[in-house]
Amino acid sequence: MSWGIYLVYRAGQLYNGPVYAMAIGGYFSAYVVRDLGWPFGLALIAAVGIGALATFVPALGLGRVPAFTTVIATIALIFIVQTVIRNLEFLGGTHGIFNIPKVGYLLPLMYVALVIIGFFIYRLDHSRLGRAMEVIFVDPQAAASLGVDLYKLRIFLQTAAGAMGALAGVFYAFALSSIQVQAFGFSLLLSLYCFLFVGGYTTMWGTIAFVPALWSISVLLPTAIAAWKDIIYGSLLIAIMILRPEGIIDKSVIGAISSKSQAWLGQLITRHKFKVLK
Amino acid sequence: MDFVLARVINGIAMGSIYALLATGFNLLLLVGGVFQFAYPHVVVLSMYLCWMVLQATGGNLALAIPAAIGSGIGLSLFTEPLFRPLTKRGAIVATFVLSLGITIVFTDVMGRQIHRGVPIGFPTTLTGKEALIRFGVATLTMGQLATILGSVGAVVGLLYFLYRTKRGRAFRAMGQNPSAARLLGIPTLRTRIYSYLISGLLGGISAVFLAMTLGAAAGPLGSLLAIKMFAVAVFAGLGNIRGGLIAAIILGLAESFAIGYIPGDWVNVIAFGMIMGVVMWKPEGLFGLRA
Repeated sequence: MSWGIYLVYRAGQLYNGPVYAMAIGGYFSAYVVRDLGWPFGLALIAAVGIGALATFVPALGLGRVPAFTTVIATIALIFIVQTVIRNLEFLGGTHGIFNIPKVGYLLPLMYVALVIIGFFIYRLDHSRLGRAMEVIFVDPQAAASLGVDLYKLRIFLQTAAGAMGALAGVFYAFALSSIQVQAFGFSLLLSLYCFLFVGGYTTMWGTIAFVPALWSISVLLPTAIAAWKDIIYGSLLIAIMILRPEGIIDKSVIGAISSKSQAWLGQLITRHKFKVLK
Repeated sequence: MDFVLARVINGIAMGSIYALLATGFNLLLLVGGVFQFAYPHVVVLSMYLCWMVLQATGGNLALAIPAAIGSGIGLSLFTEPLFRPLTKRGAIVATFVLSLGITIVFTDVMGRQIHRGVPIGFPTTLTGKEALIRFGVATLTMGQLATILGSVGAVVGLLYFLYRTKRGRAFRAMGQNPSAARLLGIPTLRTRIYSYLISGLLGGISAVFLAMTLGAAAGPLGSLLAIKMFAVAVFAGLGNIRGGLIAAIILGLAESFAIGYIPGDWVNVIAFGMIMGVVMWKPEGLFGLRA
């Protein structure tokens, strides 16, 4: 989910589409598997497709609007989706959907999906398109004059982010065996922003490093402290935006880690060769 | 006919408050260089502080109303140093992220820490629920009249300040080009701080009028108002203060009439639908960006 926001933010747009796509994906898959008897695999593929479609259509308009408008419009879409789901009786209204069947291989599937998506983002970041995204982030007009098609790129990124959000929604619904619409609101959005901006939005690694640490606040800590989760997240976000807006893990940190590990590896190989020669 | 009149009165009253909110937001965006999502949360927290003063003083309005306005100004000024490092770098989108952090802290304080999270209610001495004028089933309460006249007065006063005074011209220059404004000798930091002060003042006034019109407040009210404020801002064109006034009245009337015909919380979809409609059809807003 945070990677979904990261992906579009790299191209200069703060995009909340993965949140409503997550709700759509989760509810769709839960409904078709529990009530219509669809197999899980088919439901997962269809949910990802529907999530992508639900972000592709607005992207046709959002692809050409300023960054502020994207933020506002996607928050509006979160509210629209929440209201629609809350008022649809067959989706359980405000109570949501319960007793979603368990899927035995869900956890390994989640890890496989994480690796595949991580690989996709890594390749994208290191491709020509990734470099184009970086230019767009710094100066969209310069990127456009260099021949980057901003409109098409934004549509692609928003749709990809929507598909990722929908996939996360399917995993969420089946991992918890229930889904409620209240889960897909500001609290979730804040958590995602916290993961992304505290971890660092300039590389994909910041999110990976900080999601477990930040998520553990609500899971591992005593209830008395965990109850303050939102205030902790909010305060962290405020502090990081003031003190280090690029996040804790940025490109310079990754560069330093990479050069140090290369040096360490080099030393290790040299020592090994020396021992062999001896 | 009475029914239509009642809807028009309600719509204009709510629209007037949306106009105040959108004006404060646009002022911060134009002059402060801040995308302040937490602005309505500042307003709702001011409502809470007004309620606390009412509780502490046994319903003394002479103290509660200045407390609401004062806390609006104080809270708005409190956020200024938080945003300053980002506004110096011109990172407006990042200011949204920071304001989201402020939003969550304020919402949590209102939703759990004050009054044990129970929604607060304002006394009828403030809300003025007694009908002042009656046209069949349509009534105009003291609260509604004060809200409409007060909001119009506040916005007209602001427009006079912006378009007829020297400092107002400095505000507009900052809105159009901060670098050029600095070259012309306009004290940019001081002007930014003034924009927080004025938007805080508008926020405090909005808090009083919201208390009069709604008669109650709860933690999630801030986020709901935020999306309405954004709807007005996007509908008119971001940063367009005069367009925002018209858009606010349109939204207020649309919601008011929808309440009569559409069930449940579908009414809120109108504001969200307005945003999406304008984004798809006219991305720069009905009246254009930053007039």
